[in-house]
Amino acid sequence: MSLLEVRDLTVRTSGGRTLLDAVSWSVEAGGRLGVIGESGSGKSITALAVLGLLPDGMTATGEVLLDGVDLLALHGRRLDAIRGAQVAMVFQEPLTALDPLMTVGRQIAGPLRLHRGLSRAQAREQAAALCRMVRLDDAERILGSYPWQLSGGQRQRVALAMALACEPRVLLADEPTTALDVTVQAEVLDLLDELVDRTGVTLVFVSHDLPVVARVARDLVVMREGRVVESTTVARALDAPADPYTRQLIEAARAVTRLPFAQEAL
Amino acid sequence: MSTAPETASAAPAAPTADVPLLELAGVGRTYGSGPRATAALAGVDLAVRPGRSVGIVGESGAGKSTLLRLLLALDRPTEGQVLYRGEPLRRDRAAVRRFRRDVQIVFQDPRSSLDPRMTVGAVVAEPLRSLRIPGDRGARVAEVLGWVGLEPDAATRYPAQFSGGQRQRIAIARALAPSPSVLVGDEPVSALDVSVREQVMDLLRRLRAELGLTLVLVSHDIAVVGQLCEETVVLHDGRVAESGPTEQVLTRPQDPYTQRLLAAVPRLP
Repeated sequence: MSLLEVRDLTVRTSGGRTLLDAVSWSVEAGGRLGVIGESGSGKSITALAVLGLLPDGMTATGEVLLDGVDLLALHGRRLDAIRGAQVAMVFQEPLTALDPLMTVGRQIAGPLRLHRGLSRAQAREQAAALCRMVRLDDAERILGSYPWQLSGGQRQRVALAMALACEPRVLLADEPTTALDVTVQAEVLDLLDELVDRTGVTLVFVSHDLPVVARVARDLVVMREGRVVESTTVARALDAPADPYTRQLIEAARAVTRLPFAQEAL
Repeated sequence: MSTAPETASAAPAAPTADVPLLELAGVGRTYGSGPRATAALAGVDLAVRPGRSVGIVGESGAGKSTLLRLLLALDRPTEGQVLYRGEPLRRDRAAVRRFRRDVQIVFQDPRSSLDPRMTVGAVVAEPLRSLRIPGDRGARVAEVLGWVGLEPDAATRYPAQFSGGQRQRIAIARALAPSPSVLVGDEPVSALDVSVREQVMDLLRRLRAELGLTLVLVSHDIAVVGQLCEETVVLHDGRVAESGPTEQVLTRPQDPYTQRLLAAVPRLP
């Protein structure tokens, strides 16, 4: 049975525009699903709808089932008990996701105290352990820092530590490496790969960047203009894409990331 | 002219194929002073020869933006010299105007670089007006729109009525309007979806071939630079880590940073 299943998810604006049109996909426990699409495909709206974080004026219909429980039907405290604890998220730009007025230590400790009821001291200790888990050396200095005092890569590691703090069942990452330099991106992707393996968290990875998605995901959902055009695996898509749009995306991604002069030698 | 013997002429720096259009000689740019001074660039040598394509690649903090500002005469170096056609950049109004006409730029995001309240025709004609270039502006606008694959009636519409890729074409048309020798692109395809990115890269390649443009491309993306440029300069921490023919930099990178950068590019299996 699927751990997370999105069924006929439709999102409309108050003006009646349909942003998502009957989107369905599912991921089993321990799975790694990539959701790929270009601008306007609805991939980020899907992520927000799953988390119950749609902006005001947008309404979602359909179902978002976590272990059979429809998250769309939950509100208030019952939704809060799941969000962050069972389904955690990492966004593109950690500088906007992190509170600029709060030290990193307090931010990582926040969900631990809220969801786990840890004491201040316990949470602090756990936060240091999480820093080590995401390979942030010098945990004491990092925990005492404000987000703006850290590099982009360090901030995204902090966001990962926060997301994984309560050992969620699902990690929903929306373009988590898009704002990072390519060398830092490679490090964060390696880390994410390792953490997903080690913790067994179910990964939903949303991105416009097919080579990045292919690097971490096993299953693949291709979105275009608010619809799913193909549900497949990364391997099958690369080998024999069924939908012409998927094929076009793959060809374009191959073309723009091609390093000329036969890089295979490297 | 063609029969004139080659002599050491006293004539002032006639443009020849060997004189770089743009050159940085030992250029450094330090912000602040005293113990808090920060060197954004140091000891940078770089030559952009006529008709060539030079890519400058680097990550955040490498000094790309500082270098770009110096190349575009928007800033002055604290060390070394910026040369334009073999001579130090002059800062008088007429000289700056000639320079602006000759060296044009395309920015990353056409949503912010195109004024939404101006028609496309007015946007593209703007450099002709501000640089006081005489001639039939309407005809010139139609001509450059044609070069980038847009119909003449695009001139009567507004930027918001176009897709991201089309807007970047408009920005390219605007840059071409004053007939520059050098087109400088600051991440010109980075904000575009992959399928559109490829088309705009094709357009840049074609324009370069057809117009004999000199291209300077600044980007974080070594694949884009590799595909569009004959020469590649790798910037790292404000210095040139490595430079040379693109083929050499991509296939036999000497600097460990270049090697790391190449290895980090995510590619499809």
